[in-house]
Amino acid sequence: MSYHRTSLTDWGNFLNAECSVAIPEKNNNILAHYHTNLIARGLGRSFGDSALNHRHQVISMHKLNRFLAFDAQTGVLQAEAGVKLADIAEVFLSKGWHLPIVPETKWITLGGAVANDVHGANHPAAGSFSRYVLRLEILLSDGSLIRCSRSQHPDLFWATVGGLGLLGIITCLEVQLLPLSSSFIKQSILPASNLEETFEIFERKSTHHTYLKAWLDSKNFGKYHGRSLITCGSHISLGELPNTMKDPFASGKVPSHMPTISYMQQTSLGYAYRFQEAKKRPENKIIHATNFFYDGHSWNEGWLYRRKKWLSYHCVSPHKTGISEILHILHKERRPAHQAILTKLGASSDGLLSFPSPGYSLSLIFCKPDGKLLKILNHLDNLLLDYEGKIYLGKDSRISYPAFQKMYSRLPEWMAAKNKYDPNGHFSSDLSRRLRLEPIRA
Amino acid sequence: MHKPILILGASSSIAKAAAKSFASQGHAIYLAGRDLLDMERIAADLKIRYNVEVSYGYFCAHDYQSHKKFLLQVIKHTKELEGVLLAFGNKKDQKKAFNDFSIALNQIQVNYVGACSILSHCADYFADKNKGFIIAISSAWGDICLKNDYIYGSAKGGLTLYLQGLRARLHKTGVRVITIKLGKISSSLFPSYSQLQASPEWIGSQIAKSVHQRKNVIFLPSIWKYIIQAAKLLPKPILYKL
Repeated sequence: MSYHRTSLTDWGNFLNAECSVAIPEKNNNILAHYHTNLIARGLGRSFGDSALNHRHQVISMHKLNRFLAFDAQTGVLQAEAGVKLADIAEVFLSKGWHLPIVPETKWITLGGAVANDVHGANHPAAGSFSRYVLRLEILLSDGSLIRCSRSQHPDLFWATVGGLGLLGIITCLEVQLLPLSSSFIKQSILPASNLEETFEIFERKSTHHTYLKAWLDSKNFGKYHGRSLITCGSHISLGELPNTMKDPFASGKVPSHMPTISYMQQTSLGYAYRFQEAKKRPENKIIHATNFFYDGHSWNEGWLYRRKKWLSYHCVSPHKTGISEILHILHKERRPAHQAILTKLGASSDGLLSFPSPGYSLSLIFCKPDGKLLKILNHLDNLLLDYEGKIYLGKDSRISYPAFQKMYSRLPEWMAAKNKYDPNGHFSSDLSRRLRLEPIRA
Repeated sequence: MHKPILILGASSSIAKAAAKSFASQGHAIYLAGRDLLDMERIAADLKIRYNVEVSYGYFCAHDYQSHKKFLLQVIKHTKELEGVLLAFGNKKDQKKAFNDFSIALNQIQVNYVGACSILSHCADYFADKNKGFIIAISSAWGDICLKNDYIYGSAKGGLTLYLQGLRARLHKTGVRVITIKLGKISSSLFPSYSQLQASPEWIGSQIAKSVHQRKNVIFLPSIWKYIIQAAKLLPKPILYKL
């Protein structure tokens, strides 16, 4: 294994960093090539600088992707950190097990999912990723391999969950999979003509449906502003399955990326078409879980998308008014988001830097970010602070330190853990330098 | 359930990908290599993913004396082998090998002598059964040697010729001998759209497919067949500059 100088970007091509990248293929190789100032990287799907390390080292973990053990009785899976969520869906859905967290993309590694404490459209019921992590194996800066869990080194465990890989390299983890009645999902798409209606449907439907997310029409500034398509889905049991579907655990092939078609759906015309269709005929069908989870997600994998620059703004606000005010400001400034997704979040986890907290979360993706947009977003940060909201660090590339400090109230506890486990600052990234997540030197 | 396949040099990324493809076809797998800890992980992974039987054992290409014993032990363990994939090789320290003969000797021993030794035992076994296949990974640089890696290239060239002879010897039996000639392998983080290089994962899956194809000599990626042919036609003074 050797280091190659490579120019890395975040998933939105917004930031650029010259890094020397190593791709270990064996577990003992990580230790052999140990340097200072490094950061572990997964599949690079993060819209931020958390996996970039300008002029320093990056270790890409995506080739350490092996399942180590699976207990078919309890559903405990032990795997290396480079395993993709797509792999887990492919292998375990047909066996009747699934990972309850379905983030926006499945092209992320388990290690990255822990480091960002990802959440899905079922957050109020299922919680964030850390709820299903039983044990982590972490390579610390002094070269020692430490196992931590809720009972064993809990401070390290809760600092690593959502800790953006800044405490050590996650090499191996144990996750809890949950049994599934069938690998099919009942999906319905409801149209909501304005934001109030969207919130109302969220309140009304959250008890019936496991997965709930709204796709806002963010490009339309006319009378349709704020309308949304709400996708509801819930797992169906064996009895509800129609007779034509014989195998309840039929394995679905992970859909290939269809960049052009899904790209078309992102346009306002495509949206209007789907909205009218949903209004005329409320969609109600049974589809395979992989198709449900991937719907609308693979659009940003295609080459059409990769040519442009994108900036993500993912925030949570405890109050509905915070969300509507953000959308109102964007409306006023005439700055459309390319994609806007609204979900509801439930109780927060114990992760010290983990993002999910009760309220509504809004994920915006902007095309061709410029100085004016950054100014607007800074304004939105101040607005969020008034509403006690938060920005998702895993998708952030621009928030300032003072705002970050106010948003994450458990930061001092995290800094104490960083001082304890990485006192010399071996692990760093562009994000850690920007947000001063570095040990305080005596 | 298909019969088992022996993979020599199982820790390499191409061998890992080929093992996955073979396992997805339903073959049981026997992994052989030096890194037992790594192979333990690969074996566990294949078992969980494809629900096939996977075992592993220590194999060293240098230790020619042990090869016969090793193969007997594998056959005893798996009862019957369907085929063997030879995926080990050594391409490190090419520049050092020019001056330091001990490094050069090591490369020749691993890439050529070790391969011949284990393949001769495998050939005897398959010839007795009158069926089976032998796939060996050679290099496109075995057909033409350039100044940068001629020691590796010459050893792989020897292997290519050895396989040609072995194929002739086993022609009347039902045993297939397949030579894989590798061009460039990409080691980058990003998927490459170049026709000249391919990811180890793609190459592994193509190797597993080659069993069902008719060709006996396969260039991967296939464009290297024409590049090597063109390079052979180049005037030598130009070739020496490459």
